[in-house]
Amino acid sequence: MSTNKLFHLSPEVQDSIVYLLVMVLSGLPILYPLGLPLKINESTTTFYNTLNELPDGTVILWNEGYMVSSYVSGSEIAFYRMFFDLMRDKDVKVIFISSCVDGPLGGAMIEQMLKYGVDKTDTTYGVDYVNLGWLPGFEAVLAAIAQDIQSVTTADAYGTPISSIPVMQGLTTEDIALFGFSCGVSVDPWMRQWGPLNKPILMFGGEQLIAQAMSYIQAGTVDAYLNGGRGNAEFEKLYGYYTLQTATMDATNLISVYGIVLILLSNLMFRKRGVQK
Amino acid sequence: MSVIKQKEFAVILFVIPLLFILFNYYTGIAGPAATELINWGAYLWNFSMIIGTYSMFRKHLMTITEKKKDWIYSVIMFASFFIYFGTSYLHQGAFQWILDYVQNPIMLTIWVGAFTTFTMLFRGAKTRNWLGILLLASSILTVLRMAPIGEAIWPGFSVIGLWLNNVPNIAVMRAITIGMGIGLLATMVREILGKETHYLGE
Amino acid sequence: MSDMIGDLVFVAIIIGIWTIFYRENAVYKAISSSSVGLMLAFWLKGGFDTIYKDVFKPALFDMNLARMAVLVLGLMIFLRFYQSLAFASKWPIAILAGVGTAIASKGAVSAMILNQIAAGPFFTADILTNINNILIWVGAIATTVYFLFSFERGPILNTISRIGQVYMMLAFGVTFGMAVYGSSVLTQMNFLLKSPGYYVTIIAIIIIVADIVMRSRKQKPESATTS
Repeated sequence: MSTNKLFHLSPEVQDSIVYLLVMVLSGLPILYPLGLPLKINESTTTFYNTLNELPDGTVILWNEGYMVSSYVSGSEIAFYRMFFDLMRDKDVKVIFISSCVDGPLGGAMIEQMLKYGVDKTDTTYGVDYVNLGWLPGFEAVLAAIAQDIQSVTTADAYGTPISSIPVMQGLTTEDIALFGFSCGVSVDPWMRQWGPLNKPILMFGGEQLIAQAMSYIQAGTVDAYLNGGRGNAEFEKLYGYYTLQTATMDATNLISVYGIVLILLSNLMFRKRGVQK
Repeated sequence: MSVIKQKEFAVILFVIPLLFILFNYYTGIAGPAATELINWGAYLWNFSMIIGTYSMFRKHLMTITEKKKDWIYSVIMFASFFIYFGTSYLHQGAFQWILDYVQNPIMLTIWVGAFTTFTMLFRGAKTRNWLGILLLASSILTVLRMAPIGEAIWPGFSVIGLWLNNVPNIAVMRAITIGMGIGLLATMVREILGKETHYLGE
Repeated sequence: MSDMIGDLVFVAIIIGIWTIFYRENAVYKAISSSSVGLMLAFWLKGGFDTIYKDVFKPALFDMNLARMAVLVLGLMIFLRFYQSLAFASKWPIAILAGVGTAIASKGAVSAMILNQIAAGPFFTADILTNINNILIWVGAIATTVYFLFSFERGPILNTISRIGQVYMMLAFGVTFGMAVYGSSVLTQMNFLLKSPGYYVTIIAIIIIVADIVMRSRKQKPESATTS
């Protein structure tokens, strides 16, 4: 039997209180928003400007690989919408593909975004953009993209042979001027496969992932990045389109403070037990 | 024992495509063949996934036939598999509904990492020495940099947090990345020499 | 209407999974079992579609020899179920492993080693950038020394390793802090607290409270009889 009682509460009850507070502090700002201002970091501005300053006719390849929370909250809608603005204003072409290690959810997310998230006015599927869907193989797919984009698959996500899709006809990997990806796992596979291409790379990833990727960012392999949920919210503010991501930024304030309080409490209790011994 | 039945034959089959792809990468010769080999990797991975699925099915089928503990949940597993798989080909609307309203909340929530992180903070974030204090101080400053409330309390948190991210973090990640890169190459050499044959199940 | 039902099911599943924090129960087990089936089906559908589209069709309808070869290799994996031919099932796995290793290794040299070594000029116009770049290199070298020289170190190596440890604590603190910041249930709570999810939330709270009360009443007569 554990003797780790705090205020006569067993460890199981203590854990339950911790869980309950996580739920309450996550939910409270949803009901009563704090409305704290959000400063936009330089990394987000660089990401936004890199897209905004693309020359006319640029071909972008976007590899969708983020986690399910992005699917549910629609946190990537803002930069998908920006892609379509670029298609209209600058004749940019976008190839959507997913080699998401989470499985076909990456492909499902692209379809979801294209169906409901973006404004497709004045753009034509197959001419301005194409959805190659989810392809299994993760790093093998990334390597195939780097080797020869034509070899990656024989048909798009809807079964149309890529030989009959105008934007893919005659396209080589060399023609792709900008690579972008969102990822929820280690960034190393993208860096290994796309880094040697010496093309600009944009990245959107979870906070921990960005911390891991900083060495690549400083080395110049990654040109610009969005730092997790906060980066997304900042991008939405820059772009002017808001989703659940912005709405939940308030909640991160309380949860973050809670985490700090737990760290300090844990250490205070540890010191107190040490002193008592 | 026949040559093709020996382990060394499989090692040769491992080494040949490896060297061929590297040869193409560094010389640019035989590009289409190397591209095709790379795609083979993705396709063979799919076939091996089918084997994995079969192993999983066999295990659950044995649980059901032998009426082991919690066999009813294996039935649920099979039912959800066949319904989802069937609708994916026969009824796209139902498939999309299950994806949006059943699979997504499960994938979103089944990994209860958020809760375990906070209990870990409560129980395990104790420092015994000054190095531990450094780690916790760095993590607190990072949290205060990322959360807008940190900037609202004191703008300096953002500056310090950014410095921590851009200097010590990069330094260590650089060392780790270089180490991983060298490790990858060292493992590759061992595999070429036949010292590592984990892919053969040994 | 179907969206409302879907939203209710969505929230019910989230709460069903979270009941594990209360106690182990059949609802959680059922959901986690079905998650295995759903994920398998999802992956298999993607895999089958790719095999059909990129292997089967080119091999059998377009007479693509390369794809015929990979189809044969892929089917050879199933030979593991035949004792006499099981040795041949390792060949496609060996090829797969060789391709995978080549893919990972070819980019490792430039992206993971050379680019990292070449990064960070020490002499720029901004003195702070110069200092930071020097600090980064000091930290990278010290960290490498810490990991590489694992035998008994002398005073100099010890000092450098100590510096490496300091850098590592700061760096892992950053990663840890990011993990703490990114850990939340905001998305789930948004569904639980907004319409129509809060109906399910209220019902779930009532059920859990009722269960707590019933279980505590069951325990009280037992403790009364034992005392």
